[in-house]
Amino acid sequence: MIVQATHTVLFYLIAALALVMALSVVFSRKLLRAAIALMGVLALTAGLYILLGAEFLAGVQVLVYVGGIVVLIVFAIMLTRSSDLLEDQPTLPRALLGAFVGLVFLVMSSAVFFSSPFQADTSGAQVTDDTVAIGRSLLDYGPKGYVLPFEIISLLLLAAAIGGIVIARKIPAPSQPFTSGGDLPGEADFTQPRSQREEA
Amino acid sequence: MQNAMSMILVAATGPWAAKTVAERASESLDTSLWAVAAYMVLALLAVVVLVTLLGLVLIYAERKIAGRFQCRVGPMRVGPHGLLQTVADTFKLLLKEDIIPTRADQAMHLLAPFLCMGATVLIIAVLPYSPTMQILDLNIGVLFVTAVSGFGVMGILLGGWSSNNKWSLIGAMRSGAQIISYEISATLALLVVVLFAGTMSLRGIVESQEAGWWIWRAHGVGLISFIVYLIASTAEINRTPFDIPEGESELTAGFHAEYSGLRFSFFFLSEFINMFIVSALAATLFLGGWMPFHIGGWTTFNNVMGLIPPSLWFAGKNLFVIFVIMWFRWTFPRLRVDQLMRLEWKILLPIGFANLMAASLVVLSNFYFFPGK
Amino acid sequence: MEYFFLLLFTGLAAVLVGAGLLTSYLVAPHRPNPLKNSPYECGEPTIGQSWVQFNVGYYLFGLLFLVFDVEAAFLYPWAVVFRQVGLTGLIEMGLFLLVLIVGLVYAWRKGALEWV
Repeated sequence: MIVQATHTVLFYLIAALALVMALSVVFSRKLLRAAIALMGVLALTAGLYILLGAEFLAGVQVLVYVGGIVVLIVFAIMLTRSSDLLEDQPTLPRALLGAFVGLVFLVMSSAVFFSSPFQADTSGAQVTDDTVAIGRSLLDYGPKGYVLPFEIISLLLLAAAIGGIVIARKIPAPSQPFTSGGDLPGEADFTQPRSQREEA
Repeated sequence: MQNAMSMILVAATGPWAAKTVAERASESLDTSLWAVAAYMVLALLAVVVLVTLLGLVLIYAERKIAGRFQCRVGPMRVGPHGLLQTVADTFKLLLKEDIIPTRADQAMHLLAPFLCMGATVLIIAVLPYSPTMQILDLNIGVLFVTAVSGFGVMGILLGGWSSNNKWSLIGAMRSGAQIISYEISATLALLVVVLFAGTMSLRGIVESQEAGWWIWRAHGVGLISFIVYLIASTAEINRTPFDIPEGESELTAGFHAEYSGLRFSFFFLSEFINMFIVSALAATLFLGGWMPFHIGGWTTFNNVMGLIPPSLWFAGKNLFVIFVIMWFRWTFPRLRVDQLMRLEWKILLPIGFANLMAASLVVLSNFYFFPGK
Repeated sequence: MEYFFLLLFTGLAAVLVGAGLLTSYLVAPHRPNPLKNSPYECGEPTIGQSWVQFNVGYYLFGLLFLVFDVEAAFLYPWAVVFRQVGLTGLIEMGLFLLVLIVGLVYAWRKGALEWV
């Protein structure tokens, strides 16, 4: 009884918090706060996985997303010049494109939402250790196994690595490790938004 | 009183088939909710005491050991042999002004120490200190420890970024790059033991070493992965010789340059507890955790070794690894950033992959020392 | 139950740090002045933004890390079930790792593993 009640309360708590965090990712004006809120959303998703009894999935979620993706996003932000992030208003084509992408995603996710049968699993087959179950089906080459997708993932990862190297190596290394800007004559002052400063 | 004494004695020396606090709590879930609450309070108190104790002992040990290595005596003034020095320092830090730079992002500046401490406290809770002294045991134990340490990385990045200071930012970025790079090698080394034990549960891994510790049971494969893990995890906790993120001679203090008073001390504390966590993992996975030193067939010897309580075995192994990590600091000079990256990506990573494949061959052929058990 | 304890410990960490900072807030002095609250640069006055453009190397290593991190996520279940699966598991994971090692060799040959 009490376990069930706690379960339900925790679900709504985590879901509500995740929603608040997700909204603040979008609406935050400060990139740092958006990145941290994104980390919060991803960590709370891991909490939802735990409520579903998928602890391995939750562990991987934290390992890959919090420890990997968010750190990579922070590195990517630091790679840009701070001036690029002070855009005051998006241009019209950008706004339209953003709205279009958002709409497509909304249609796609609602299609999935309405087409999936939300039924409680009444078979009672509780997986005690989902790591073993995932491992077995990952390496199983029978009709129910996933060995082909598993091997294809390695190609995908290889493509990601090569693509990253090709893209990142193309950017010429700056002669200085970093530049601050705004203090040399002819250099743009990055403390101002782009529309208010004279481009050098 | 006598009852309490015997309970402590049982907890310290009890039989090996034992339960974690969380298991005890869930067993009494149907009978008494008060018992569940009592177990929870017990677990929380244990962690608070452990964190405090670790802070006091490790910082004192670091200073004393550093002193001895340099032919000094270390702190001597506060208390006998300077034993109370850390307590005095804690009060000093508590009374220091908490300076927050005007340009810093106030809320995020405040959040960063919470992330770092949160990661360490969560990991401390899952470590097996003895058969009876473990708060919770997760099926995904090893994965959990590596995953949660990601929050620590984010805490460091956040601390450096929110300070809005050049030193802090450079230190945070270096620290982030270093930790994520070396995490791969550390993971590969840990995976070798997961492969041997066939489980990620930390208790399960300790119990799998009854016949012998993994460091020497698998013909050198375990030893190599222990060494790789020790190097990689020293880099992960930003200690010398891998301390360019903090390098006081170039970055003043790295990511926590703009932190003062107690806020700084939480970063400091979490660094020391991270050292404990790293050593505890090394002791648990490679050195048998709380498992006594046994030699197959030597019954008398094994019985004598079994007299030492398992918690002392764990503490002894743990302190040994901590001492080795502190020893590194006074032996190796700091690495340059290009040397650092070369060591990880060109030396440790290939060794890690080759070692993992060798380990799988060992498992496949069932070719261990003392294979019977 | 295990994970409820984890929730408890998350709360404990927050309380621990929060209580410490609150105590410090109550007993420590507060005398801020503009000089004290300016960014610390060893006594030099600060020039420009502290948010500077960083070396692309950080991003590159972050990306490579992510690839190997995802690979590690697959290695965990493999390591757990390896004893039950045996030789097929070794062959399958050998193929998987071989492809990734090709990526590592590519990065090596391209000089992407050099810090510039």
